[in-house]
Amino acid sequence: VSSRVRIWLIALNVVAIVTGIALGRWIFYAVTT
Amino acid sequence: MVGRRRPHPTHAGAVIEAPSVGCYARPVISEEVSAPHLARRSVGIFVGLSVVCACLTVLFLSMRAVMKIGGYCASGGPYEIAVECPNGVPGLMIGSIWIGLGALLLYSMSSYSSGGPRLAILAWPVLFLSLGWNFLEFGLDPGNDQGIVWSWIICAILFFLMGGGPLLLLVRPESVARILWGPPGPDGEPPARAPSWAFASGTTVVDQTTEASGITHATIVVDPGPADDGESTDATDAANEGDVQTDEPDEDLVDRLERLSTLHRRGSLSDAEFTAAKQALLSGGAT
Repeated sequence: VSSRVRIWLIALNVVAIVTGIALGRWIFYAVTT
Repeated sequence: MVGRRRPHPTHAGAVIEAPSVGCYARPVISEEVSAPHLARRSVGIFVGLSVVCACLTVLFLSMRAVMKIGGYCASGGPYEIAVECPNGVPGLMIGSIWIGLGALLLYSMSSYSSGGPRLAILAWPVLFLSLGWNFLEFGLDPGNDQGIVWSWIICAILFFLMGGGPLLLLVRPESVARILWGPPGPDGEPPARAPSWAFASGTTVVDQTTEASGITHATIVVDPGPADDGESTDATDAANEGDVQTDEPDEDLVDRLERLSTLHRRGSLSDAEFTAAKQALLSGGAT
């Protein structure tokens, strides 16, 4: 893929990972406390 | 003889990049991928990967919650329970596993069809290394003055081996590119050349560069329109001069059309690009 699309996909993956970790922590503490 | 490349009036500037690792090339539409296609894949990637990470995080934290109370617990049922599970943890553990698998499927489908980094393979190492870390941490210090719990240490070693094994595949940079960005090309495809249909008519290889990363990009300009003034195109000239490697003469036109159709179905080619390439192929293959 082109460099611009590649950068977009990498950034999207990074944002998704960070969002997922934050979401997981929020879900766990919301359910267990 | 060097001919003049004349852009087609309706398909001028359609650029296809053929990224490859090693010596194989596979055509992938780059920035000209239709915006709706990329948007759909992006949504799938974001939703899938974020839910996968959320589930892995929930599973990691749920395991720690259970290990803090001794490593086992129970909840519900007709029996007297010695150690009650923390509130919501059983449901979180079961739910995170199944929801995570579904999200991993969504992410895999989206990332594979978009040509993006394919991180799904890392889910296995992340799962076992993170849970192995829990075994190691609580095995060394269970928190109740028991000393080292060797059974948990053994579990930690096993989990580290299971999780770390696939990471050995990522030691070589070429392997990283192959695993994260996809295979180099169809099986048996000759090295470092454009797709066969690209040379059917008026399609020209204009550049080929090798980046420091070792990934080769063969840039192809789809130029299906014949030169109006009768001059030959670059592709024709190059083929005549042997500068480019043309397709095997006995390759069936149907196979080329099928490959083209596959790229179109996968979204790598827009409707306009598919039509242009198909016309170019048919006009070249009919002769």
